[in-house]
Amino acid sequence: MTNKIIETRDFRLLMPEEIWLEEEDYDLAQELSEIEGTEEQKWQAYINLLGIFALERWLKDGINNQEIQRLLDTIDTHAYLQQKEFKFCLITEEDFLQEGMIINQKIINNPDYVAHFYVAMEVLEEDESAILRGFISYDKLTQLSLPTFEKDTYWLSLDYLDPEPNHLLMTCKYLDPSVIPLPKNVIQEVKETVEQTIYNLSNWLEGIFEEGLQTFDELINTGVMETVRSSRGSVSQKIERFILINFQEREAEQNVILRLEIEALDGEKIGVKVQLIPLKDQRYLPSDIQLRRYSNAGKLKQQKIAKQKEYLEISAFLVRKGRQFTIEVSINELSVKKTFQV
Amino acid sequence: MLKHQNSKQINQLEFFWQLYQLRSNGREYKKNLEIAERWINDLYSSSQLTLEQIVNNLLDIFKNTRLANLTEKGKAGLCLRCYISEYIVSACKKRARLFSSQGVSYQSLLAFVLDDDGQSLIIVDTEGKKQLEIIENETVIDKENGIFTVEILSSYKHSLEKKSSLRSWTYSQTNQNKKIVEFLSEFGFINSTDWALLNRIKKYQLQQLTEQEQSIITVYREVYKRDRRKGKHTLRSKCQPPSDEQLQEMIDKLNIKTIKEPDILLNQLKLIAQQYRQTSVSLDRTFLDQESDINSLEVPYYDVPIEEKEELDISQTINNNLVKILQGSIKKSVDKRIKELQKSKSYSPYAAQYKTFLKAFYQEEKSQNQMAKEIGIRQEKLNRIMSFKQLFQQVRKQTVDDLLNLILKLIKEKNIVSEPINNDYLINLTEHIEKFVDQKIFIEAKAEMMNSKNRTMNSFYAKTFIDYLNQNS
Repeated sequence: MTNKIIETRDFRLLMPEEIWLEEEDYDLAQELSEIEGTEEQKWQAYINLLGIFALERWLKDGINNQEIQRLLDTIDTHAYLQQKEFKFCLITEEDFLQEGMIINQKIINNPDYVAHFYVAMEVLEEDESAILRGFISYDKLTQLSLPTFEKDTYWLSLDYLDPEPNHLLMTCKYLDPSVIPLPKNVIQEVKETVEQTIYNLSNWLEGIFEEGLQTFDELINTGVMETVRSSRGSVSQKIERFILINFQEREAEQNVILRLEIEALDGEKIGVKVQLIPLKDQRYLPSDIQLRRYSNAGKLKQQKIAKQKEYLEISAFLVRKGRQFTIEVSINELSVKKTFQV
Repeated sequence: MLKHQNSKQINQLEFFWQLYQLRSNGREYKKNLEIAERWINDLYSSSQLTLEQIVNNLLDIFKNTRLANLTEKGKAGLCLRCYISEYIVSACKKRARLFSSQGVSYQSLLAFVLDDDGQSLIIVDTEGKKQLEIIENETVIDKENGIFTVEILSSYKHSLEKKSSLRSWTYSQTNQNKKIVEFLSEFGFINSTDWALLNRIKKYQLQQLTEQEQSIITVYREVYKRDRRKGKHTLRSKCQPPSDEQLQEMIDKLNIKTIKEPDILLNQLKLIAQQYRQTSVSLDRTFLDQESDINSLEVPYYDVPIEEKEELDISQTINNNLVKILQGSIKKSVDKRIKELQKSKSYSPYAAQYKTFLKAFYQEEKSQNQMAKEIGIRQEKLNRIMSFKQLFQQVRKQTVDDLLNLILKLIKEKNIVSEPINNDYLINLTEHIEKFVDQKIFIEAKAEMMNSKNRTMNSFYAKTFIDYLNQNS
C-alpha cells in the first residue's frame, strides 16, 4: 500500500457538480425540519434536508433511478441515504471556506452510524443550489488520523476527499458493497440468533393474545411492578400488554418490562406506544439501557438511551396493515428483540 | 527499465525550469527558463534522487548562509521558484473553486501572486528577511519590492523533522496572501447578503467575537432563521434585511441598554457581517490544535497499476468507440433532461421547446442573455431550464460510464485481471478514462462554453451536438 495526494484535476476545480434545489425541496424541508430542539438545530435539519434531497436526486439520476431510502433520525447532525446495501452519510456546510468540516466522531466509530461513503455538500440556501464538494469511503476515512476538534468531533480536511463525485457512482454501479467492509454491530449479531415470536397486533384488537404477554393487573398482583409506574392515561379505547424482558436470570436487576399500548385507527392503521419500565424494587431503569424501533425493512427508526430514567418511551407511531416493526431492548452486549405485525 | 527511469527523471526536472507566468489577457502559461534548465540538468540529470530529495538539496544550497558562491544560491532559488509556481497556481484554483458560486475565477487571484518574471537571480540576507538581487560579479542590491515566490522560500523552515512540506507551505502561504484575502473579502461574497452570511458563522468562529457580539448573533439567528425557514417559497429570494418587527423582537430578547433602537442593532449586525467576511476568507487554522498542522494530506491508497498490455487494449477500446459513445451520451442526456423538465413543478411548460433552445445556443450561437430576451423570461430562469453545465457534465458522466462498462466487459472476456475487481482498481480505471476523454473532448468544450464573449462552437463536442440536433428535430 502506498499513499497519494489527491490531485484535483482542472475539470473539477473549474466545474464543480452543482445540483439545483427545487421549490418542492424547500417545501418538504420546511415541513420535516420541525423537529424538537432549538432554532439552530431546526435550521441545521433544514439545511441537511435540502442537501439530502439534492444528493438523492443526483444519486438516483446516476444509478438508473434505483430506489433510495432516507434515514432521517439524526437529521439535526447528519443525514443518511441507503441505496440497496450502500449507505451514504451526508455532511453539509453552508460554505467550505475553511476547507474542511467538523464531523461527529460517532459517524466513524459507532457501527450504527457508519456508512460506505461520506459525502460533503455545500448547501446554498439563498442561491437555491447545492454543490457536491467531494466524498471519501469508509475504508479510507478510518485510516486517516484526524485531528480532534471540540468534544466528540473531528476536523476533516477537504483535501482528503475525492473531488470527482462520479467515482462514487461507479463503485455503486459496478461493485458490491462488500468492497468497502463496514464494522458489524455486535448487538445486531447477537440479536439475530435469538429465536423470534411475531406478535400479531390485529389479533390483540380481537382479544386474542400470544403466550407470555401480561396484563397490568397480573403484574401488580404478582408484585413485579409498582402501581405508580408507567405513565398510563385512560386506556378505555386502547389495549395494553406487558412483556417481561429477561436478559439474564442471575442478574435480575437488569431485567425490565416492555409495555405496548395500541389503538385501532381508521381500519388500516394502528397507533402504537412503547415504553420501558423498571421492575418493582428498582427506582430507575438500568443505566445505558437502550430502546430501539426498527422498520419493516429493518432500518433503525427511533432510539432512546436511559440515563437515570424512571421510564423510557419512544414517541407514538403508526403502523399500516400488513407491516411489521421490531422493538429492541439492549444493554451492554445483551439484547432482546420482539417483532410485531399488524 | 533504466531508460524508463531516465525519462521519468527528466520529466521530473521540468518542474525546476518551468515558471508559471501571466499573459496580458490574464491567462497563465509555463515559461521555460534556460538558465535554470541548464543548471538543473548539469546537476541532476544523471542522478537517481527523488523529487523530494532534489527539493531538499536545492533548499540546502539556497539557504546555506556560509556558501560564498551567490550565483549558485541564486540558481538553486530560481529552480525552487519554478517548482513552487506550480503549487501557487493550483492553490489559487483550489481556493477559487470555493467561491465559484460568487463568480470568482482563479485567474483573478493569480494576478496577486504570480509576480515573479524569473528574470533575475535573487537570494535572501542572512536573517532571511530581505530579498537581494544578484547583479554582476556576485554583487547584490536590495530588491525593493519582494516577490512572492522568494517570500515563500525564505519563510519556509526546512529541517529534517520538517513539519510541513514545501508544497503544503506554498499552499498555505498562497491562501493567506494578504492581497488575495483582501480581494476575496471584498468580492468573494457578491452573491451573498449580509443576512445569509450572519446565518452561517460557525460556532468556532463565534468565539472570536466579543461576548456582546455573540449574544447579538445568537438572538439574530433565533429570530431570523426561524422566519426564513418558515417563509413561503413563492416569497423566497435573497435574504432581506430584518424587518423592524424582527429587529424589535431581537432587541427585546437581547435586553442590552445601548441597543434599544432598530437602527442601532441593524448597524451592529452589518459591522459583524463585514468583520466576518475578513475572517472567513483568511484560512486561519489556529482553531485546530497544533498537531494537525503536520498535515501531509495523503490518503491511503492501494496502488493497482494498470499494466502496459491492458493499457493498450483499453486505449484501443476507447479510441474505437469514443465517437459512437459520445453521440449516444448526448442523446441520452438530452432525453433525460427533457423528462426532468416534464416532471418539474416550475419548468414543465418549457420541456417541449428544449431542443429549440439548444439549437439557438449551439447552432445559432446565441448567448443566454439574448435567448432570455427573445423568449421573454429572466436569464436566471433560462439558466435553470437549460442547465447547460449540468447537461455538459451529464454527457461527460455518461460517456465515461459507457466506456467503463465496455472496458469492464473486455477485462472479463479477456481475463485481463484474475482477481475480483477492487474499488481502487475501478477508480484507477475510471480516472484513466476520464483523463483520456477530458483531453480528447471535454477540456476543449468546457473552455468554449465558459467563454461568454466571442463564443464560437467549433469543438468536437459542439459539432457532435449540432449533428445530433440536426438529426433529431
